[in-house]
Amino acid sequence: MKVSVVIFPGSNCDRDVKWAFELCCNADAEMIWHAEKSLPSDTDIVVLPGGFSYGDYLRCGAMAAKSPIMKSVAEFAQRGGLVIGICNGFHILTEAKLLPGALLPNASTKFICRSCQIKIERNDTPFTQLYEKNEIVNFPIAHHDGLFYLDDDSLTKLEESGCVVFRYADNPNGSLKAIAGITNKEGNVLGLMPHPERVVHPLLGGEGGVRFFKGLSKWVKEMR
Amino acid sequence: MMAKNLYGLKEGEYLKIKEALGREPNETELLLFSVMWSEHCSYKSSRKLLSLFPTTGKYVYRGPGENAGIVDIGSGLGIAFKIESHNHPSAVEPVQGAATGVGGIIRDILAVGARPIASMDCLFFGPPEERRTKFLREGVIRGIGSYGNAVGVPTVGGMTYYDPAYSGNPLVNAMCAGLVELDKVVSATAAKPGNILVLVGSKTGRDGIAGAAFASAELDESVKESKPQVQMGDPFAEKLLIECCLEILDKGLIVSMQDMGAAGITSSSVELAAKAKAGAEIYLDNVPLREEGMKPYEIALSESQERMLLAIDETNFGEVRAIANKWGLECAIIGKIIDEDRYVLTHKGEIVADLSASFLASSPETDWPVHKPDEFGVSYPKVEGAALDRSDPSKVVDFLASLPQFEDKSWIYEQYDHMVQTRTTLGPGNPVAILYIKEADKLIALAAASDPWTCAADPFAGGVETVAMAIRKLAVAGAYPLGMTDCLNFPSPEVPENFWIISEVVKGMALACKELNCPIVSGNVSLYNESHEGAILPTPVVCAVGAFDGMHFLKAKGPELSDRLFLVGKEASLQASAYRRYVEGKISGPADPVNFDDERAFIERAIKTAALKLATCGRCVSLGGLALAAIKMASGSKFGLEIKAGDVRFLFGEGGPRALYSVPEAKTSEFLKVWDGFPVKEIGKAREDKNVRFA
Amino acid sequence: MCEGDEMNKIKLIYEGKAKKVYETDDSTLAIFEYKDSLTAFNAQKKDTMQGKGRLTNLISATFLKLLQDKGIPTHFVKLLDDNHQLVKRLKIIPLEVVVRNTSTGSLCKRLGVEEGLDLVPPLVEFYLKNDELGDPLVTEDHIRAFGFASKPQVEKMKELSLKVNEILHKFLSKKGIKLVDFKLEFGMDDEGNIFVADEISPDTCRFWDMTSKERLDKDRFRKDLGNVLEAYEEIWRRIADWEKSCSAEYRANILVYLKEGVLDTQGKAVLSSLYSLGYDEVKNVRVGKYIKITLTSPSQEDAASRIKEMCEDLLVNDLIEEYSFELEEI
Repeated sequence: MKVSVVIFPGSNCDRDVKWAFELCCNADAEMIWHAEKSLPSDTDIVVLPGGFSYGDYLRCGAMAAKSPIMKSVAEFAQRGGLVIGICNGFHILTEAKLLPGALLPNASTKFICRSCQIKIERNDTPFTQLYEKNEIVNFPIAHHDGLFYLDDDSLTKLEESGCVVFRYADNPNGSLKAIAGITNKEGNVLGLMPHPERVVHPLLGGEGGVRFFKGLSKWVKEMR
Repeated sequence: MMAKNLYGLKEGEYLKIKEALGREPNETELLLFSVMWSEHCSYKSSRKLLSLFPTTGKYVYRGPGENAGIVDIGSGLGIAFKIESHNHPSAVEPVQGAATGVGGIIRDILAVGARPIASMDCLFFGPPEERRTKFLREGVIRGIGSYGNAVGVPTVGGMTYYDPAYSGNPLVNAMCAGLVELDKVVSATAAKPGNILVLVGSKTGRDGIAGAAFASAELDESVKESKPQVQMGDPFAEKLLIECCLEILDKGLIVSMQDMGAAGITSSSVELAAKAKAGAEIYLDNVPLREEGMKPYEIALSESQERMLLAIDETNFGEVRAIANKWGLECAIIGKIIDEDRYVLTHKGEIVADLSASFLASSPETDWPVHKPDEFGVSYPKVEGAALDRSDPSKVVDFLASLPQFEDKSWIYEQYDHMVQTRTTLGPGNPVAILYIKEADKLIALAAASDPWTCAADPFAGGVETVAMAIRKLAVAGAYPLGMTDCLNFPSPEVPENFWIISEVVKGMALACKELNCPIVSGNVSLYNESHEGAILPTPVVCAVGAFDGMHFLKAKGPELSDRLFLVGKEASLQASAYRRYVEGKISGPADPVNFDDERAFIERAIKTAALKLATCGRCVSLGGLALAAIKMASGSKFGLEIKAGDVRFLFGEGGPRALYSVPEAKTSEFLKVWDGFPVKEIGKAREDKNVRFA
Repeated sequence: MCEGDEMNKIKLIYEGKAKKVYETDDSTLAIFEYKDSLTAFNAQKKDTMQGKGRLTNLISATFLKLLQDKGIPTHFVKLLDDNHQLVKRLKIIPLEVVVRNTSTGSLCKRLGVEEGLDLVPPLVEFYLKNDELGDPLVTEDHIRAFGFASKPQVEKMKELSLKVNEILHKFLSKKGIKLVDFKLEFGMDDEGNIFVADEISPDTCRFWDMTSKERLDKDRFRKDLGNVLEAYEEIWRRIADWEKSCSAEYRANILVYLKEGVLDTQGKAVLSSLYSLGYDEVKNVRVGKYIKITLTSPSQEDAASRIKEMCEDLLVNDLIEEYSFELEEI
């Protein structure tokens, strides 16, 4: 499995997510600089990692969404390729309009870093197939702007179309409908605020994220 | 005639400069001296004392004199670490002061070629109910969080300490640890004549001009008007700078490197030149500027953040510049190492300073007079627990546990990303932080310690206790010390009583480091921590790095229901305890005499206890005594503890090698065997509800 | 020419002394092609001069752009290449308006007055466009009586002509050029709006160098003074960088704020803080962003439209935010 991890100036979870893919499914994870115009042709999954792209100045993810590489990420998504945005990567996907909604500052207006109970809403996605439906997993969060927002009508539509994949059990940031992660309508682009890559080793707060990565690897294998 | 402005230089220093130059220094030169010879840059008051510290040892790869010390953790890897104060800037503008403190120490770690992997912050504030403290604390936390989070270095631990002595002069000590491949370590002494000096990073503005000199001045009212001197931090630029420098390093293009913090270009280039036993010429016109019309001394001394100075081979400049461009950073040749002992600044075709580099880098030592104070200790006019019924230990425990000093600090550390880089095995809220070094499949531990009350009550014992406490914490978690970094926060050394206390504290620390085999590999001194509200307590802060032989460590929380509780160690002292401070309103000396044989016996047994998995959890008895150790052990756990109450000294005594262990019934005999020959007392057991009871 | 902006010449609809006009696939637009030919005295004197078409095209485009930036409606749309410009297709009013700042040429001949007199205020004359009659001078009464144009149209043309005079005069004097006189034509769109049409170039203006008094216009040709092309080139050289020299610095103060209805966590936090400090009268708090941008731009309108683009492209997320801005010249 070939994973392209895009590095934006200010990304800081890029190495973590690369390690998680390597550790959990022995993937070939390559770092792709944001100024590149194209993704490696054998890419199976694109990851936009967490961090503070462009310092999160202006709006989280706004400037990264305009990076040269994003055009080919959009094309990759258009062709049905799997795209995952974690934390700041989720910001970037919404700013690039690859996912609906926006992420506002947490209700507490403070940065929150802690482990977090996340409910798996659907397990019929490439991202969650190894989890049980309604299973509660422990994925940490670490963000200042994680309040998922969408206007009422679009929110209803989002729920109805089954795009909500992860939901907070305790809604730490005030997200509407406690939404923690969503996909696009086609189901191949995922954005989530929690960090599955931070829970892939028993010495690092548990292994709740291992199945996230293993599931992706299985999916890619089966699609081949 | 008006007296000549010496910019903070002492008359004697000025005369010495004049004599060495054989002429009047011009204004720029005088400013260079004033900054380079400031306490902050030169350690002129503390140098002699610092020489007492042991600095070499089995695990020491690089000791003091480099930008950060490095200890060897095997597998060809090292941990670079250092602690540094940013007290004065944080007092003036807490958000930026703390943020740039974090940024500065991260660059120190970067400067030895290490990737920064963890930060710790030790904070000292006045009483939290004071409005000013609230403002300062909120700002400092925000500064640390906003900078550390964005730059992607996890904040894995630290401490928050409250005392009225810090009301006007809070302390912000930031520690950073980095991971370095030992064969890629960059040395500050490696530059060679002919190397060009390349500035990489942000543009230079008028930030914090002469901040270094300012950092060494007592805070007075006028400082409140000095906001423009405070540097502004840009964590985004710092993150780019880290990646950029590591990429340049990875290509093998760096000969030597310095971060630019205090005194900016001057300090970094003079250090590079002087440590290489050479000189330097600096072309100020080449420095990329953010503001127009900057004077030569402003460019030379600007403390604009997020800049590094690289000494490289001239032929490599193209490659270095290409990497800097990739990361969107400024990159300019601003000087050259030359084969003579000169430090020359040129600006607009003119030489604006021409000095001896070695002379500029070697401030005269200052030996302040010492005088032993007549009495030791602190009395508190406002005693929070004065009206307490002291006969009921539970009430006293509840009272102490409710104090901000002992509160759950998760509201602070949850604002810090403590997990990024996915190495944090044990994060904040624990006596030690434990990091998983994936690259070597090893664990390391970081432990910070400080004991201002004991230092105030008995300076020598306080120095010993500070060092010993950090090592004990490591030992209980199962780690042995590799090395230590120290930040010495004291008031003005010019007061003979103060300098006596400083000397005693340092002597105590140095002795403990020697006796417990934990060399000091890096450090920082912050003097003149005084305000119109008074002087701070003597506050040495240390942070020790430890290693484990295996992959097992002992946690400090979470007893199991079947556990029996053991207290190891002798009876402790109440002299400088939290009990005395909060209930009786007075701490005083002397502390119990120090016994290093006991310390070593404790450390050896504690490490064995953890390695052999003989306890469910364990923690040192420190501030607040056994009572607070028990409360913290049970906090957030499934089960509570039941403790056979003893007297006040039993419950609240502090200091010396003592620890509380929660031991599974099945391991009890083995546990007792390990601790044979050391005082052990069974004092209770785990209980089903989550409470801690003293009956 | 920009990609995707291809404009095709479809059919030649007019060929004059100095230019050809083509239809385009957009019925509201036309293309002017400037020729290298030169005529005078109603085409009784003719010549061809390579490069003259290009210069006329560029100079005219520059003047028209300048006028547009100063708020004068003109038919100019954009420059296509060295010899072509895209313009609005208008119904041309059959009058030429001449504005004179200094007496010279036909005025002196007709009235026997001295050359070089400063005319303050400037003279405005109307000529009927009719080659057969040799473009005769007409009075405003003639115009009204024979329906060449309506009274409001005449007034509008006069007003615009004087404004154009003021703008060009000021601009050219900075370039060391004296604007002696010039001719304008006007046209109307379907809604009856009046625009400056045709061209403004050394073919239609008299330019004298302010120091040497040298003629830098078609008079060199009329009077066989030689170096005609050099004169045109000189004009172009002096005005080519107008956009740089004319552009001003502007400061945009942009406010970006959350849309009504979007949860403002920061506003909420500030509100509760204000309450806790006793500011009970506070009803609501919304926290937004203030962005200050300084930019150079040829005109206020241009600056405003660029700022708008920046907002929509990057500065504002229209899902959650709205913006407003103020623009000031600095």
